[in-house]
Amino acid sequence: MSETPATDVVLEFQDTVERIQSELAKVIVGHEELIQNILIAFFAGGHVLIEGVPGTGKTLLVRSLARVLNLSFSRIQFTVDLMPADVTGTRMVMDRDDGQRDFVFVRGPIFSHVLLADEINRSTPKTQAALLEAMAELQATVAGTTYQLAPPFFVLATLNPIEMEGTYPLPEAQLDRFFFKVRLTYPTHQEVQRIISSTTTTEEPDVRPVFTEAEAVEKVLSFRRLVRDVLVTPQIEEYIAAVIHATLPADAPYVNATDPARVRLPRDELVDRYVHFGSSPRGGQTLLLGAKGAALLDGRANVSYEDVTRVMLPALNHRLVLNFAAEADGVDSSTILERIGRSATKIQR
Amino acid sequence: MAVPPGTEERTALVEIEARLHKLQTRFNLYTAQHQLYRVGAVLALGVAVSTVLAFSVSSFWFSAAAWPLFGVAGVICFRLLRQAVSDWTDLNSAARRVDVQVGLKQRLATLAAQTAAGVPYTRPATRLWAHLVHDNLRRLSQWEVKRVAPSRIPLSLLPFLAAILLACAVASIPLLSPASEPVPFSLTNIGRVTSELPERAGQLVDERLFPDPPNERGRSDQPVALTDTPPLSQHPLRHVDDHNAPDQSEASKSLGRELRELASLPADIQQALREALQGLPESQDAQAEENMVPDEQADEANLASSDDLGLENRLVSQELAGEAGRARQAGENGAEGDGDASLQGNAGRFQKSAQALRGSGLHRLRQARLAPRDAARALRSGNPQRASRAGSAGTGGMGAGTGTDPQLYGNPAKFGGNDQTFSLSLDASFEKSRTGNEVVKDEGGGVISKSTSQLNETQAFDDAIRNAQIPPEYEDIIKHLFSRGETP
Repeated sequence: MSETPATDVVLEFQDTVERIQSELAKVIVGHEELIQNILIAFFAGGHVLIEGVPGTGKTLLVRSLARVLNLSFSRIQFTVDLMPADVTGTRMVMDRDDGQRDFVFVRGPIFSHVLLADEINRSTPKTQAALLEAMAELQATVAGTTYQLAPPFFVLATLNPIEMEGTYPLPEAQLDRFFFKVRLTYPTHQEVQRIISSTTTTEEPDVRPVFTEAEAVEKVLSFRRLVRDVLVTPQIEEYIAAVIHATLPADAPYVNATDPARVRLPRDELVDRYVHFGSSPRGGQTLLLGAKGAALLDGRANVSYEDVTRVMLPALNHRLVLNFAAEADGVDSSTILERIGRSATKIQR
Repeated sequence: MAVPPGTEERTALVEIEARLHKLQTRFNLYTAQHQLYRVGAVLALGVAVSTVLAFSVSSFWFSAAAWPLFGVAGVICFRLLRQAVSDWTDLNSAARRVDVQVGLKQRLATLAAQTAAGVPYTRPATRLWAHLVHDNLRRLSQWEVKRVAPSRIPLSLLPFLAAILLACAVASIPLLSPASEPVPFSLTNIGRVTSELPERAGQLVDERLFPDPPNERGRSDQPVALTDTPPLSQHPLRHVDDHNAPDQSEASKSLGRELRELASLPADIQQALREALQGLPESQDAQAEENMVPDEQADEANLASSDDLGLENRLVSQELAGEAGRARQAGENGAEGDGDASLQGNAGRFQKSAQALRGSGLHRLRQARLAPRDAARALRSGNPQRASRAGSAGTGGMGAGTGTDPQLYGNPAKFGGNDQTFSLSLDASFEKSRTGNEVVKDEGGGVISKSTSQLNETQAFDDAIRNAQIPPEYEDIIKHLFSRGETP
């Protein structure tokens, strides 16, 4: 049997991702798994929240990604005095050629393909909410007028976990709109050595785009459709639903106690003790789409349980709302999710 | 040649599905075997346990335990069968099992699920469907049927076989149990009885039961006088049997029991036995017997010269003594109590059975040992006394019912002279054990039942004994039978 067009598409996707990774590797030292997760979220049509200490290359990573994809790029440095109009744009009185004045909508930085929302938690919730509509519905409403954003739209927000004074933690609703939340860990000794040696010379790293400017948008959108075309069995969908339900504590409000689920994970003690509220159904969507992206990265046309497990942590860790007991005991969401993932292997069929 | 779009995918799909169907069949075959063996093991264990219960507990407890036992076995079997149904593998399940076993990362399961959903026949396939089929076709060599589901027998066969063996062992207990032996004398196994009868008669011979040789008999410590005769329980023979050869004593008891059964058989069975032993109708056999007189006389001579005759007569007497003793004891009990006539009737029946035993049991066996024809004749006659030859007293016999066979207790020449014999006194009475007997007390204080009527001279049985020269070996027996009042 000869190679099919579908196989060619999958191979092209794999090749593209590999090229992107290799180009990013020129400026970003290490963090291969993080870059792969960001690419999965990007091709799945989601947004990524990056949490990391300052100086670890968050901004550089996003800027390099936009350059590699040959897409338009904007950056917003979120501060406490940042206004929503600074994000979405505003109507301004402009002088026309005929001498008359008119209100003209000036597009904000949100109107780009790749948006870096740097230190998003430093702005007020009102400004953060301005980003909400754009992230969820790919549109921005200014002065009663809705403006569509040009796809692909990809927001990459960063969080600084160190300086929490004067910050506004993102509300759960906004957190839920991020496809993945990844943690940019501190580089290792060797990685630091490579970083300082490669960035302190006159030689600038030459990052080449993988697409031409004309085809970039179309290629990205095509790959996004390809991700959604990945096949999945009902058993894996059932498994994902069971995992999502397993994040809910026993006394969670708005949960149907008599849910006749066919596949159910055993209750986790940590979930009942530390989780205030679990993942939303959007978390399940994220889990499946992320698994599809991971499958396609692996060259497969179907989702496996390994794919789900692989994306479980970045897809769900920001969707668990932990209580004060968890904070007091130093329990984070990744610990709980790892336990759920281990117990979930028992219901894999 | 141009191939229509999708043809390659469908061809590959057919190949994958065919292999998947083979695997599904193997999986299900294994599941069926596994569960059937488990169900069989449970049933066999249930049968074994119920059999053990049937042998070991009463019918009440058996019925009380059997229903819960059967209920538990039924529930277990039901659950096993339900598990078999749940383990039954459809095409999707077979694909998932292959995925897990080979590590195909749900490639095959996804393909099977898509096929079950109607792709690509009734539902349009996605863009990646062709890639999925192609991917599975490339990995077809990784899941050969023999590799994924090799032909093997489930391990549950071992407990099943163990349970079957256990059930068979338990079920064979009745065959090994003495209680399950068939009735030794019946019409159903008359052939076996007749074939074994001479052999059983041979078992009667116990060397220690032989009387002492003539030269040693004179030196016997056994007293001759009636008054000096030790009780039967202290007889040297009994002593030997009781202490030195318990197994042979057991054999003798067993044989005696069988002989009693033989004697107590209904008349039709006895008649059938006689005919089977004879092999001819009675009338023909009688004529044949007439023709066989010379041979028979020779047999008689051999028999008379044999110590076996004395031995068997002695056994007959012992049996008589035993039966009569039990009869007397029964009669005594009856007299001592409220005079229940039934007990005394029992005593009479015991005495009759003793006579029947003598007439139809041991005596017949003695004849059977010589030759089946002689035994058959003896059985047919039903008379303890030997018939006369051509109606006249021969050299060794008397006329029928008119005298005593001089060799009734063996060859007198072997007894070492007449000085070792004894005779009964004329006024000795014979226990009748009928109602209306006079009840007297013996000197020892025991109550005995004794008939006051004189014996009828025509009573061949008594007449034979009274006129015989009885060897001392039978002294205690005869004393026991005829001199109840003098029983020590």
